[in-house]
Amino acid sequence: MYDYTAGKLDWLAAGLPIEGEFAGRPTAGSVARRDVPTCRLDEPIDAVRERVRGVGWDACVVTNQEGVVLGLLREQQLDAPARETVEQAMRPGPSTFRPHLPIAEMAQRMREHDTVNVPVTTSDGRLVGLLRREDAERAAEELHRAHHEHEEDDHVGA
Amino acid sequence: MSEPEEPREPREPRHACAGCDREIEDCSFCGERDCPAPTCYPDMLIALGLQVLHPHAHGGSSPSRRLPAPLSG
Repeated sequence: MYDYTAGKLDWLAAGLPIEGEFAGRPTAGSVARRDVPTCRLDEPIDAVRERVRGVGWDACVVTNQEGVVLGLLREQQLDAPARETVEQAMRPGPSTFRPHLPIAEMAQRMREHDTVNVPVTTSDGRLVGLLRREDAERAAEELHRAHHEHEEDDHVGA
Repeated sequence: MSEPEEPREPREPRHACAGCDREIEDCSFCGERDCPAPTCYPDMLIALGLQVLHPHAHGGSSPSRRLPAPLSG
């Protein structure tokens, strides 16, 4: 048996501060919305729906008391019949992504897979935020534009 | 005389990775069975730049080396 010792990737995956050339670049963790609503398994779906839409959201992450992601409620699940609980209505065990992933790759994959939002979590499954495709695409485009402007400046300077 | 065949369970349609045709249950990226571009777990790791790095003889390589070119267009 081996004890797992956290390494460099776990540091990045926990969204902890880094230095170097790519430290300031947007990532899944830096673009994800930290204010995404959360709820518990045993809450009635109609109460959650009202609360979530009342603050202008169309998604809610289901977590336990430790903030570990258990499920996801997107628009379709939020529209479940009023008698259901969150546990009955949610998508259980959604695919989650680590905060250090480059935003351009996330945007590209979300577009290819027609995914509107994905939960971003640490390696041990704790919620960091919800990454929305429109945010990811906007951040990726800004990064792309900045990269081109930088290249053009280099050409002018050469 | 041959015995009558047992009725077979209807087979679910085959789901395969769009990249490598590996049979998968659902897309590793979005978790959906009817994903328009289903991806297996190994291909997803490669796509997101998470493939295992080869240890560098001088004590490790930079993760920045794995970053792809920015989106075009």
